[in-house]
Amino acid sequence: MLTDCHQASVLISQASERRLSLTERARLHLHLGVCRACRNFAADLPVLGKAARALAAGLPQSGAEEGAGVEPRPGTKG
Amino acid sequence: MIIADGGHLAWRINDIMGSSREGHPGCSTGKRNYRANGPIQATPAPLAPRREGRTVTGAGPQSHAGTLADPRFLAGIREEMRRFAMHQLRTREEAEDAVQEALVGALKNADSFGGRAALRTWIFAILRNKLADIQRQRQRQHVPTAPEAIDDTLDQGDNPGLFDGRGLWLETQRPSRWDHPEKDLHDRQFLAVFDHCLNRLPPQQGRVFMMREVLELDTDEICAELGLTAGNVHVILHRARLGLRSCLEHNWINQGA
Repeated sequence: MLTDCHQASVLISQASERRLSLTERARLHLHLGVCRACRNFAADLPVLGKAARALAAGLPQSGAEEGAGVEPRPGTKG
Repeated sequence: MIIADGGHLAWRINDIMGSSREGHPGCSTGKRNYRANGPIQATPAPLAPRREGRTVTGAGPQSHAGTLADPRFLAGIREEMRRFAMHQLRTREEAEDAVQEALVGALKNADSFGGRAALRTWIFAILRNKLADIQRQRQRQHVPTAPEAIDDTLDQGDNPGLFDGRGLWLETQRPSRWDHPEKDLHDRQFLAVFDHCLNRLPPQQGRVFMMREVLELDTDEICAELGLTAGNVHVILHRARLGLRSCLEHNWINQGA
């Protein structure tokens, strides 16, 4: 049975959750060989997890906060 | 426990700081920090003095615990924490509680951090631990999520709307290759778009996705917490990833195209 893009995207997603069977890996591999869109999907997915963790860590706001101090700085280092 | 906003909260945190409230298991470091007032003491400071006004006994004027008492900084970070917690908990009260406890936990070691960025990262690490604790605790108590939250249309065979009748990507949904994704992760606007996309997902999808990717719970843990089967969890994660990827592509990657 040929694997379509929908099925391939399911396998790509599940590969983060469980070990795919040999058959599943073979089907996915064959599909990815001929489908650029699904290769892109597989490459894009890890970015989502990283973005979620970056959001959780709250990194992007720190720069703005840092410069926004209104209070006199106690004892500048020197 | 409901707490007030802004300056009122800062006051409250100061008040709590003076107490000997115990850390929760998620952020316990196993040591207590008494060094702010001089030599290390063998026994905890007595409780009584904190009744005298709001003198912050645990933090010197330059410490980052002091930063946390800055109402503007605190209000900002608290709002972010609350949004984050709301993705994973059911009610506002639960989220407020988790945020409050994480802030209290953070204060214990706040002055070991060199700047606000580091402090922020530290605070969110504690919040994540706190949320994971809550999830695990529920799991032990077998408190399932409200039944209405379970999507009974979860069938892996269903077309999630991004594919045509033959199972091929619809023209408008075909994934492109993202350039420089690592750089984007440090971009404030990118994360704002991501946050927006996360909020647009059905709530259950957003919650499961965050449980998986941020709390790093595995399928079994998520199943136990939400009363879902492994198959359900996999379908939800698949849908969440499809939805997030598509939303990001349309609102960030191809924004100018």
